[in-house]
Amino acid sequence: MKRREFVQSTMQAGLAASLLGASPALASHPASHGAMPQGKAEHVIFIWLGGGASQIDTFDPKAKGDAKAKKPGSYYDAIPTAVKGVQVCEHLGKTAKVLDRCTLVRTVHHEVIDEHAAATNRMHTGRPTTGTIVYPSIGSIAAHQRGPANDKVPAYVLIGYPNITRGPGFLGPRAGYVYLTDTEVGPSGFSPPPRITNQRRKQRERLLSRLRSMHRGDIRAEKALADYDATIDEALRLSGPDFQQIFNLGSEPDSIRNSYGGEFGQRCLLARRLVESGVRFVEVSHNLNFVNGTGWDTHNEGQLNQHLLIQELDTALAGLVLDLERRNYLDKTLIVVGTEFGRPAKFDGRGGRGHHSKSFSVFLGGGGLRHCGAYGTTDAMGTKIEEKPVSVADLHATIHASIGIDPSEVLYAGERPVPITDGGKPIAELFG
Amino acid sequence: MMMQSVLFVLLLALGAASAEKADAKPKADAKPKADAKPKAEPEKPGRPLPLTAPSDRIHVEIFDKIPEKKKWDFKLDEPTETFSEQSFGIVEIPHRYRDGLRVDRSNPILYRASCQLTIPEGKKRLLLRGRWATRLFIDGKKVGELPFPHPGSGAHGELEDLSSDLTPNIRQLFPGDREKAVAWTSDGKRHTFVMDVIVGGRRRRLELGEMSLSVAEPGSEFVVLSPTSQDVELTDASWLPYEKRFREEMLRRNQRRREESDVKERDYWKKRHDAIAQEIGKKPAIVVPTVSEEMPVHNEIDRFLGARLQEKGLQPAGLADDDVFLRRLTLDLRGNLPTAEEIAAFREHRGEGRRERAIDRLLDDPGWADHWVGYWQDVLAENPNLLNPTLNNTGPFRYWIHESFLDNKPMDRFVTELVMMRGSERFGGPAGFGVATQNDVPMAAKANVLGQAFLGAKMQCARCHDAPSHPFEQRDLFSLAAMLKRKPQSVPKSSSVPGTKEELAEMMVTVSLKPGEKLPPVWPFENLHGEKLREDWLRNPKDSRERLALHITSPENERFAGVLVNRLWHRYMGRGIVDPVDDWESVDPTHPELLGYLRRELIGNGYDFKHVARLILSSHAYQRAVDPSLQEEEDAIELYATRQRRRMSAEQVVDSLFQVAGKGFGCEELNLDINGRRDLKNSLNFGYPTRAWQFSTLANERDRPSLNLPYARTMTSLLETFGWRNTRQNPVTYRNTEPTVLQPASMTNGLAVHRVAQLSDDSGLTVLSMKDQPVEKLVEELFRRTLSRDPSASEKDLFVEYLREGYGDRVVPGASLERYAPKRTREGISWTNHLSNKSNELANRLEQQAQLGDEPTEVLTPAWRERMEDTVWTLVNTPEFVFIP
Repeated sequence: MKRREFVQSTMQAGLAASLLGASPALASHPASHGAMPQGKAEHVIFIWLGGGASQIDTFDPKAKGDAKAKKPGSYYDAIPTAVKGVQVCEHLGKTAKVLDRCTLVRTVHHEVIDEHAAATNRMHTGRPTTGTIVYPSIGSIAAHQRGPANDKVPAYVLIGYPNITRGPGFLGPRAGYVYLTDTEVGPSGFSPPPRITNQRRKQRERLLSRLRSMHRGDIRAEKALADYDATIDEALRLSGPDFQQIFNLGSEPDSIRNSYGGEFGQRCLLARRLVESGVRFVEVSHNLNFVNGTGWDTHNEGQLNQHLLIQELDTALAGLVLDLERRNYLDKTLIVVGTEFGRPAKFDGRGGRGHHSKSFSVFLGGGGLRHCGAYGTTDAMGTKIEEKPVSVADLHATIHASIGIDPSEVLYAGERPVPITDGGKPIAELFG
Repeated sequence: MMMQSVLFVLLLALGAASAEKADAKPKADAKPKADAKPKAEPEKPGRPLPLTAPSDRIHVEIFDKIPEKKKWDFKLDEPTETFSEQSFGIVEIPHRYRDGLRVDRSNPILYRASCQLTIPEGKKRLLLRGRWATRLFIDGKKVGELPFPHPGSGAHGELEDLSSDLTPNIRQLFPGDREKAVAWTSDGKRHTFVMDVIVGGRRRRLELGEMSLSVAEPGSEFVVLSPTSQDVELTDASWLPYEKRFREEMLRRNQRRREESDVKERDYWKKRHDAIAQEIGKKPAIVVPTVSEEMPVHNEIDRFLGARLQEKGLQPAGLADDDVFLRRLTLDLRGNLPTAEEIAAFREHRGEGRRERAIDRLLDDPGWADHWVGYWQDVLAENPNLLNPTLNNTGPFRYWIHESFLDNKPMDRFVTELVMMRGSERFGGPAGFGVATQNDVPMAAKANVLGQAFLGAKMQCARCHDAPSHPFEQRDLFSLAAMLKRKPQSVPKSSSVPGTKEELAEMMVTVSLKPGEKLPPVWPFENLHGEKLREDWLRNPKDSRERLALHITSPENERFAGVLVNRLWHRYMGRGIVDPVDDWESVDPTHPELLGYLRRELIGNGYDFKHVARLILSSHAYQRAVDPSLQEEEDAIELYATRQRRRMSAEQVVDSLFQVAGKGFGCEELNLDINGRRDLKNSLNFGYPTRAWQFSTLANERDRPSLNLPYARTMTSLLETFGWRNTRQNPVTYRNTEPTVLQPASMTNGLAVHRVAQLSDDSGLTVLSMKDQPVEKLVEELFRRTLSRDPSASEKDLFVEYLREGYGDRVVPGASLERYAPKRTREGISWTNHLSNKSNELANRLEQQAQLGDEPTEVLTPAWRERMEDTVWTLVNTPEFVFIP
């Protein structure tokens, strides 16, 4: 009801077309095929481990190998978790303790291994590229279907570098993201540039408002002009103190900030604040390439310091789970840790690992799902699926269903019908 | 022919002959020595090199097909091509053209530059810079060299040190370049300088970095050697403006090279067009309606439109005023704003014909080509990637589009070249259109593009099924694909609709082809053009691709000419006579007779786009005022009684903003392999953009700080906000024009606009601010510069009041401007070192630096400068700025 009112009021204000007013899909819901599970979560925090995180060194540990002797296997020891029979790598000690609120989906798979961009695209859009349309990212679909939970914030925020695979595709710019690359700076377009003081900002706005008021008549006379003009106030409001306050991590107690760890953790903390402010979908990209050089793309020597990445992820992830839980947001917020593919058990010429997409792990936490610690099993080296494969479409369907989006609903690219997922089925065991 | 070919053994430099000996002549009887080893160097006399050369220019010879190895012991045949340079500071090799199209050279090549120079007597230092193996000879004696470049292209290397301490102000090395200084004493006489460079190898792009040969007196800066008096120092202040001139001149040089290369082609097309014009001349004239006296008429277009307006009893709006006209026209033709000078000149030119003169001037402006590139990039789905092409990428045929419009290529020739897909695939020939990476039926994708672009036939549905709302069947698309492929096209598995037989039966669509079915190369659109062709126009009648090109572009195919003129009309008039312009199957033209008239004008005038553009732009209809009250009258918009404001395209916004600022984009090179070490299949270089169409996706799917181009990203973010696509996997004519809050947000707070308003040393607004004139004049000029009009009295008061304080003392005494723009090289961060910690840390620092925008100038007092910046910010943020009146 509230949301509807907002849509109407923004229409009146000429704001209907603004990013904040991304309206729920106009397409009518077709009757669901069978009983599509419906989750009760409201938000998604999608943590992206760019480069292809090694499942065998993180969420799906196996017998230890030896990089020097080229003996395939895990690089680290495995440790027990809060869920009986489920182990993770030794550097995920904090996450291990909260694993009962989580599920490691260990049998995600696709066939793109040769190129990061193509695999990243697959994991974000759920489909291969075609020459006829550009598919929207999962974040854009969430933004398009559900809009923001609060009319004062955007629906989709990206903490990371903009790229095609994170974009809205055929859904158009209203389903796009607002992005930032530095938690200290705030989002691009909504934070006044560093050299512009608050006083100067006000001065500028005063000048602009006087100039616009001189043309009030001309502007109102033409719709295109009036529509554009109306979005200016909204933009200025978003760069004002209320929205900016969300980005002020300094207002968090030290103990909380510390519980998340370093810069990547601070991104996760910001994601929590965004979610609480009403943002529907936050993608947080892991940005710690300088720790080991390669980030998660651990070819060659990139392997040597991979444990530092894992530890940083561990701290941030466990911190996020516990903080959301403390604030009663864990059930409302699905945490996903995704990556473009996994890595094989065998080592390359210089002790690192190549790419592997036939089976890899995606972490799901919170979101009101019925968690089981781990889902699906792989073989002794973690490179082949033995039980319960989960396609990318199934994974997307699970995420969509958790926030009440029917993954079989049909969207339209012009007149062409495109279902939200290509026949994806949510993992039934996680619902109920 | 190789009759006279001289074989050289390069490494046998003249040992005995002293470098000081000015007039050494080649020894006629010297024999090349084929089996020479590097260790023999430079002992034995030989005849390796030209010992004489022109003294008024640098003679450059390119030798193709030299061996791929790290040795100089190869023989040379005749050079494949020769040209001249003005100086030994060389940053680009001119393109090679065949039939007007860019073609690839072999890889590697030998680049030999020779020249006779006289250098004043005394002790000097010579400095060689460049990224490739280089040898410098003076009168045949080797005096210096650069080694072969590092072979590796892996990503785990270390950041190179680019600093140089040879002189106090020396420019740091361009990434990938090395340098070598040698002591040398000049006798003040004339000597032959020869620089041999092995460019490329290991399939690297044939780029030069900042190649130079320069000389320094003790204690002074290096000066680039040149037979003309260029006096370019190897310092930022001197080199950067020089490099800018070099690149601008290269555009003109390449244009001349194209012209020289396509004599045969132009002749073919002229004959073809002459024949068509003759036939058209024999046809009965098109009947133009008459209209009443009240109906304003500039040309025939207004009669066609006027007749319909009369029927409806609508009197069209009057002419737009001159300022509005010039803004509209300049944005439509050049894609940016009229300058203050152009506005003044236009106003001064009183009397008849000045609008026509303005139209002619802008049709001749090279910006005409720039403004068309963005359009065709969208329509033709140009989609190159900086890195490993996997996302349905094409080659960068943007450059071919640009050159075609620079040369005002006839449109039938343009489309023929596109269909033929010849020339360079990776460096800007139409062959790049033929690429579709990771697409299982690339030619079906291309057929779909061609259909939408030139036949108004939207066949994208036919990729998988017969189209429910279109007459096209899968068969049509795959037949066209077969013609492009020059052999039968089989239908892939992906070209189907998932579902069981029963499910499919319930759907609205039919899948008429089975996976695996083969379609022969046959023209499917009998309704547009019969199967029979004018065989004498075909150069190779057996080539189905050429047949397809002729089926599309033949004058009998009226749809083709109709779609083209309709695209022009749509672009200038805001809507198509047939709308949508890319999908003609379901709609009728609003003005069929006018369409017929324009079509014949195009066909009968050699498919010259500018001819038809001139007709449209000269019409009263184009030049009408925007009349909001008239817009509400029924049919007034459909019948062109009034103009409507259009929001600028993304490219127009960005190009106009930086034109207002009078500064370059100042971005990094669009290249993630700046030191040139990767295989050319995996890394492209889009250079330093100067117009918005030159941007590309920044391809940081890897999320690595070291692969981030922060300045360029501020630009692409702004472009995307206004509807530019960073990926063009599918053809699009209508961009999304919805207003979103991100648009004003990126205008009010975005870094790109922040840099526009920032008065830095390289800003034209800083220069304007320093001009000695009353503050009122400054405000007027700012309005003309941004909004293409004079301020109203109240607007003037508002800003004069704001800028008056401190205006008298705004200029800081003694401060001076460094007018050159920076060239951002990311301090050498490149693919080969991007995984190193140092690179990622440095990249983070560069990002923070970019967040600050440009350095404020110190020639203006900070308080007044900020007020001026606020003024500029306000003017570009007023809604009027982003609209075409």
